[in-house]
Amino acid sequence: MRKLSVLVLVLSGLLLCTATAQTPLVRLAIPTTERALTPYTYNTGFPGWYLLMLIYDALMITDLDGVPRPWLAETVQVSADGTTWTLTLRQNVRWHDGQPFTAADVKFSYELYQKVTHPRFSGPLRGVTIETPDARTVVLKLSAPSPTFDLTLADTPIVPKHIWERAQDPKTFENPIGTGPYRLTQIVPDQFYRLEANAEYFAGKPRVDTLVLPIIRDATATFTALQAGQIDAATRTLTPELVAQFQARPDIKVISGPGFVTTLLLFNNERPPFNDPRVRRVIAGVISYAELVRTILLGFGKVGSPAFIHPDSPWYNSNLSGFPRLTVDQARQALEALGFKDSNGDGVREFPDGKPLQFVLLTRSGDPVRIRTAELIAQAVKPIGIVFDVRALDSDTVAQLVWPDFDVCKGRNYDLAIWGWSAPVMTKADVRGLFHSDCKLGTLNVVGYANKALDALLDKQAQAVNREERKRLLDEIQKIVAEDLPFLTLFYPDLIFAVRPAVYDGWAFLKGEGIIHKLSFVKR
Amino acid sequence: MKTKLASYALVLLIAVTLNFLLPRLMPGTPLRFLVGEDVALLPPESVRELLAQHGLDRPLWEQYLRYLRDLVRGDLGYSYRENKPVLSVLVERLPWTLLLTGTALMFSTVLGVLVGALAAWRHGSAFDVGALSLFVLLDSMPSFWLGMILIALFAVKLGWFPIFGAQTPWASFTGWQYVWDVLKHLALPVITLTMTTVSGTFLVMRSAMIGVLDEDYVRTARSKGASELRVLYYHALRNGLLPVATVFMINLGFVVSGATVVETVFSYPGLGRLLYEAVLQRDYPLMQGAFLLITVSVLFTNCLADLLYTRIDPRVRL
Repeated sequence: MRKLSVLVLVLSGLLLCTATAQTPLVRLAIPTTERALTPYTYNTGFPGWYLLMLIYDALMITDLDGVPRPWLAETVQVSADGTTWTLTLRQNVRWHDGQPFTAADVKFSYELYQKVTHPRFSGPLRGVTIETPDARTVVLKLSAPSPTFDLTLADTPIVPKHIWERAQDPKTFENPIGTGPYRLTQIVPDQFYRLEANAEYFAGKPRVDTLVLPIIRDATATFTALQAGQIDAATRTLTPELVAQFQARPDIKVISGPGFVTTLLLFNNERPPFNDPRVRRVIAGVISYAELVRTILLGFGKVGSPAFIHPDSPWYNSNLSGFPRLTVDQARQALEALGFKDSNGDGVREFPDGKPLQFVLLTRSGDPVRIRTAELIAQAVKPIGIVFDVRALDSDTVAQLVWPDFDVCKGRNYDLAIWGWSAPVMTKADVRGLFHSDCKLGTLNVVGYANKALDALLDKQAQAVNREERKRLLDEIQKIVAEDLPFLTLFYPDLIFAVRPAVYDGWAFLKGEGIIHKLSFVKR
Repeated sequence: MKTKLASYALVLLIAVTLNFLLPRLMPGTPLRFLVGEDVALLPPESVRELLAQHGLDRPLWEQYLRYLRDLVRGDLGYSYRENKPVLSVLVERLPWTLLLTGTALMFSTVLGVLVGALAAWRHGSAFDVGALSLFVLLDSMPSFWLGMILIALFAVKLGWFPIFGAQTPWASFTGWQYVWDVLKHLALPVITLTMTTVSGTFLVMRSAMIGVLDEDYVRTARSKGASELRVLYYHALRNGLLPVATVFMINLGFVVSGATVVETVFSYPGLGRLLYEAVLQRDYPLMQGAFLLITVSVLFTNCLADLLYTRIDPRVRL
């Protein structure tokens, strides 16, 4: 009898365990529509791409440190010259409709992105040829070595050939079949998405049975709903002011960590006086980055690195000496020596030709963090006799002035701007895009920075044979950029999320990117 | 009548032209929403290719002619943001907006008429002064603020109503359960919208009635012994309603434009919010389509009002 009761106890314990391990429903609010949530129709980089990857898989996946690991592929081998990548695919992976996943799907998907331009997936696959010696092997031949190609393999979703080959126009084709941990079962436009766990998932059934993604446009409404228990988590990040209030509540957990989104001060490198690195260094020298993080982010952020790369990125050069530091007097002397004097005594210096050092600092309206940042910077340069007029315009107008039609070759039309790049620029450490003087290569070089000596290094790192070689080159590049300061990386805001842990607490923080990703739902 | 129709046609053409021009005069490009936020990663030649695909690299006059041609064919174009035909996007949102703004218009009209008539009848009394102050106060209240107060009180504190949306996304209700769910989601936005729009009808009704109640026929009705309520709601109200009908018809025209602020605060999937996002995202075709819908409906109700007037007020001739 006793034996039996022990057995019952153990069994019920087991049942309880499995019961608590599986969550029936998580309501995760998203801020805007993601259209049909296919590779060609999802809308935002964050959270859109991350939600897309709940439905689709890539050949690799980045682990929580941001390092790519095999995923749909079982093994990934790179030839010594870095141009041939051989992948063996995982066996017994099936599409949501039961069809087997094979190398043909990989070839089809990659060729689809090569044929039908996709803003994110097409560029990195240019010049890649795909061979499939058998159903489980994929051989990718690159035209030149690419040390970040593993990130591309982790970034590019694979679509089912048997379905997408019927698509007339992939850009509008709507079909939810993937191999991922979730099936997309319902879309109600502008209202919500419904995802159901894929019980047959190769990495095991995901830990949440049903994910409902209601669209809540308004930030206040989002966090009110969270506090009232009408949602369980949100992709929207919490602003620092709200953290204390949320931490005080026993039913809400605040999860924060480093973010790879940047906040920058752009100088138009083509316009005097910002074409002179010495002037840029003086301005860099009087800004207190720690104060910006303390007063604007309430400490939830990291002080910027002079060479853009986040200290938590594997590519960061830890030997950099940081921004130049100048007292007000030193800065004044430096400007004086450069020929910028205040000859009429109005507190504002002038160019040698008499024009005052007065410039417009653009920032986007509706973003209080950036507006405050702009104002604090204007305050910092005022004592040294430079006037920054802060002007907040709607974000598209700012973008059009800084980066006309998103094409650096079309030039730029501003003095100064507060700007930011999204996480993928940091994840890939896309230094060539940021700093190359050729506008066809330096596609993100919105400041118009040109340093021929640096260009050569930038080209070399882009085609380094392996990560070690690239790291060495990136260290050198960061040293030069930290001297030239084409723009100032002011700070990296932390990513702060609020969730209801009683409903689901399996969230995992992916360095620089947050908690909304596949590994938060799949058994790791 | 003919000249009337001709003038409507002219107004429509001007409106259609403005619909086309205004979005394009704004700074910024629709590119970011043509391809999603990842446009930053797109090489410039693909950008040019994309613009060409949507005809955005053509000169403005050519785009305009193409727009007119498509319009005549009943083709409203393709929404960048939604990646769908504009018409189907509008049709998806229209029922929700009609439900929200239509219900609110009904409530605010009935409420404004009843209370306005009573206030006029008791002109100068404590009730009149009280009602007047209350409605002026409501009028000055920003709807987003009122919406948030109602959310804080009735949705968060008391938990009676949901905070966002038009239906419960994680439930699959059918039949009456579904209706009840939709009504529960509708309540707070409708109350907000009603409260912030009711004062217009109230003020018009009140001042019209004050005028009417001084008329001879009202005195006659009273003196022939009709009860006060009969005098008020049968004899006086009918004539007092004339200006209210005008206000109502104007409001009716704007029902399809939705209520941007209220729809945003409550994350309601209506046309107002859609239009607002279309503007932010420089979704030219969607903006054009939505503005066209609004223009047409305003013109239509105006036209309808003109026709109805000859019925309700025989003094008016077209």
